[in-house]
Amino acid sequence: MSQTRKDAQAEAAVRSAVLTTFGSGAVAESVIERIDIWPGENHAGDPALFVAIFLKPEQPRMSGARLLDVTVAASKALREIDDDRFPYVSVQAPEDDSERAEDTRPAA
Amino acid sequence: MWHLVVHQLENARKMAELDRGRPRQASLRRAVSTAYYAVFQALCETCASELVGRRKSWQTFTPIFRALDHNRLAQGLKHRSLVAIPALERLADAFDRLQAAREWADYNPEPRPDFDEIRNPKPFARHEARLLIELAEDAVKTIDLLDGETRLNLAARLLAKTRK
Repeated sequence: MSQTRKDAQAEAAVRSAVLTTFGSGAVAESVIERIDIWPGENHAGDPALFVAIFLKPEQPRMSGARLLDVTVAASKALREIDDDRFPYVSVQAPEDDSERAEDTRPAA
Repeated sequence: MWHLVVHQLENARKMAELDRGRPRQASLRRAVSTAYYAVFQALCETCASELVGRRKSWQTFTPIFRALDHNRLAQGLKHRSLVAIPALERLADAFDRLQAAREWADYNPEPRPDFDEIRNPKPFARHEARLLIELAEDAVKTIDLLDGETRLNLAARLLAKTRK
């Protein structure tokens, strides 16, 4: 299987697992603005998947336990298709913008 | 729960709440790194307590506590005999997630752990630090709630070197 096809299969599996943890289709759609998934390498240089969940405005705050539920579900979904990449999930909401840290680029 | 671990988590929370309004990267990074170390130390303590015993001298306890390193822990937690237990599967995923965040917090200059110029360019947010601290709290609670046999099995598996 080509890497492009493997990535597409992994993305579909992770997307489905994430949506399932948020509830039925309509419930998930009411909470999630979009999900971005892309392949890359983790800190150890191992192949990984990065999953960014962008919530719609004014959603109740997600808990760490829920973040872990989503990660476990995505991780299981990948193992089920024999993909041993780990899914690094982050969750962001528009409200977070007011409490984002400064950028880290050193001044020119 | 070991008081050192409890206090690491408390410190992580305090650092995540510093700087009203826009938080400093340095504060959020220290919070995330400290939360990771709470879990790392909880696992080291579990191994030493199970395999040596809490009442033994430091001379005996410390070498086992220090026998684990970060990579070995991450790999060991993924052993198939451990991830077959749902609580340990959850722990392994939490550890992996936190370790990546800690590597970013301590070593990476980019504005967020999963930085991507197009898909995910915004700097790390206070809420994301809080989420990772809660995830660390969840992991530590999971370790605390393991039954005796599972703790011993976990400790043995994390410290054993498999002959190739």
